[in-house]
Amino acid sequence: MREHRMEEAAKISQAIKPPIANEKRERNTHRMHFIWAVSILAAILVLSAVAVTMGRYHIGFKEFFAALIPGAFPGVEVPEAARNVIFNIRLPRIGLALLAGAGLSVSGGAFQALFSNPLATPDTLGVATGASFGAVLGILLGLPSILVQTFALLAGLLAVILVYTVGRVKGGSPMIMLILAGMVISALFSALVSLVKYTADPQDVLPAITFWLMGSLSGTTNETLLVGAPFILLGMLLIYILRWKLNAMTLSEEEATSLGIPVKRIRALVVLGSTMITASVVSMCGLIGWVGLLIPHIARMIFGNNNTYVVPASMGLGAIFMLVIDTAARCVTAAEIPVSILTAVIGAPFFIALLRKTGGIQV
Amino acid sequence: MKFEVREGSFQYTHEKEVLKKVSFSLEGPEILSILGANGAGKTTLLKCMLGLLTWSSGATFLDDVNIKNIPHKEFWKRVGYVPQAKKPSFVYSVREMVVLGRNAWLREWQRPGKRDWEKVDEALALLGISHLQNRLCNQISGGEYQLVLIARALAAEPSLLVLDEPESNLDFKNQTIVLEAIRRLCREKGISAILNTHYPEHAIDISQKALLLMPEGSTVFGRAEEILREELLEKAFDVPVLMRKIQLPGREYTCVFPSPLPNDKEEPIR
Repeated sequence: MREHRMEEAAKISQAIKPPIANEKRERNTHRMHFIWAVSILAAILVLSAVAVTMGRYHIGFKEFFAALIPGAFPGVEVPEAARNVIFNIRLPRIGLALLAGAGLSVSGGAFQALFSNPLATPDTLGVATGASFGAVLGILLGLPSILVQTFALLAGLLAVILVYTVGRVKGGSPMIMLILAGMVISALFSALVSLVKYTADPQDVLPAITFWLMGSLSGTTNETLLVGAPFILLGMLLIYILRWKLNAMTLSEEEATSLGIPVKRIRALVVLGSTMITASVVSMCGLIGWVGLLIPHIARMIFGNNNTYVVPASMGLGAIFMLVIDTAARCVTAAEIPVSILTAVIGAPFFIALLRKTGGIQV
Repeated sequence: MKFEVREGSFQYTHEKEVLKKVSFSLEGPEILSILGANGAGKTTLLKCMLGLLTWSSGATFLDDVNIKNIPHKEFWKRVGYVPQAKKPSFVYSVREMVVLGRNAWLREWQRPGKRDWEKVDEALALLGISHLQNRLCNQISGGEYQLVLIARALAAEPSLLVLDEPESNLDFKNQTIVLEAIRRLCREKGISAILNTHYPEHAIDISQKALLLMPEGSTVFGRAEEILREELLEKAFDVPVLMRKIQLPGREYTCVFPSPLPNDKEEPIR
């Protein structure tokens, strides 16, 4: 016993003076994170510039920069058509790709932490299905695109309100009830989507609905972006602020409460942020699968499970992933390829390769 | 610090009362052990007294204030809860896990700062697990993980620790380490502790007070040596119990056996 105590005492005295190795290690981690952040930001800028120059209408780097910064290249003439393509078609679309990728990834990552389930996706509470019902209904009624978007947003919010109402049992909404309610509401809305498809005119409306459901960023304009982007940005900001709290939210509800976390409030705020993002993304570009599952896990494989890093990393990596996918979607073939198909076709092998290389997810 | 439960009763919806008018109090640096058969309501009692479950009647008081009237964060700054160790679905490093204990001191939008990490270092050093700080929680032993959970509770600088079966699922040596840690915190840091345990021997060994949950929902509370006796344990666990004191180098230890020993004609020592 005495020997044991001495051993313990030695351990303690060794531990009390802060080991210098530890500080060094921390500094190294900080430096590594800084390098990652800078390279991700640089990659976003470079890839966005490259994406502007790609596509059917030819635009060179010089023309792009000349259009972007008037007077930077005095010798280069930018035709009005090119200007139009850059500012009204490609830039809004690239902006949406970045926002949608970042948003869906953050929203998926936040739900995985909130439900302490690595398989959760942005649609776990039925937001995306709800929003797609709103959108297809709008398409069926032949509404202009801005109203279709509004319908989708509202229906997505409605879905989550329904989930909270259904999942409420005397005074609280236990996680498992929320998830079950999410499944039920999601099933309900997907039935309604089927109903809309069934009644739609198979000549023109049905293909529009089907194409929309597979996800596409082709309809992006400055106007739709202006309506949708604030929701995505606000939602991301909310989750970004609460990112450290997400660590505690992965514990059981009682455990989190005992750490002094106002569990219900944090949960409601994260769900709100996530819903704003997902509903808005779906309202602008339809259903895009995989991103919300894939990217947060990639972030975890690189940075570990600490949400302080997972959240910003998901934003950056998600933005890059979506930008690449969408650029491929519009450039690889003459006709647009639906984004959902590409996210799965490119995402799945990439994910498998990463799983193999890193030896799996630490959950 | 004074922690008191007055006539707390609890029933799950549509079932008979699990706990009937439980009363006990704890003052100053003492250790209280709660014993009872499986299903007697030990964990329920812990959750009720901490407000994680709501008493059907009765209340908990911290320094004579009903805990319902203490703001959430204030309460969890003063009381640390160590749940039954179960690994979370996402694995964090030991440091990241322990710093979660600082939540009670931080606003919703705040993240741990320098001061919080210092408290983490202190808590880790206090339990002698600083060398584990950068390991992942699934790469350490069950005993070490239990110490991590205690460190997480300590990071909030509480004056009362509430532990749910801290030494269950641990081997021999790890049980000693965990119990010794609790004893030391009480003695050296003046932190009171309430713990659930399955082992009467451990309760006798480390606690000053004891609470026995009887099968029919009543409870017996008092000084440990008065409560942890053969007759009462027999009643609580519904099994014949024998107790023997043995002399260890430097101290006395009480062994508790759950059935009569064969060929034993001595009068039991009480």
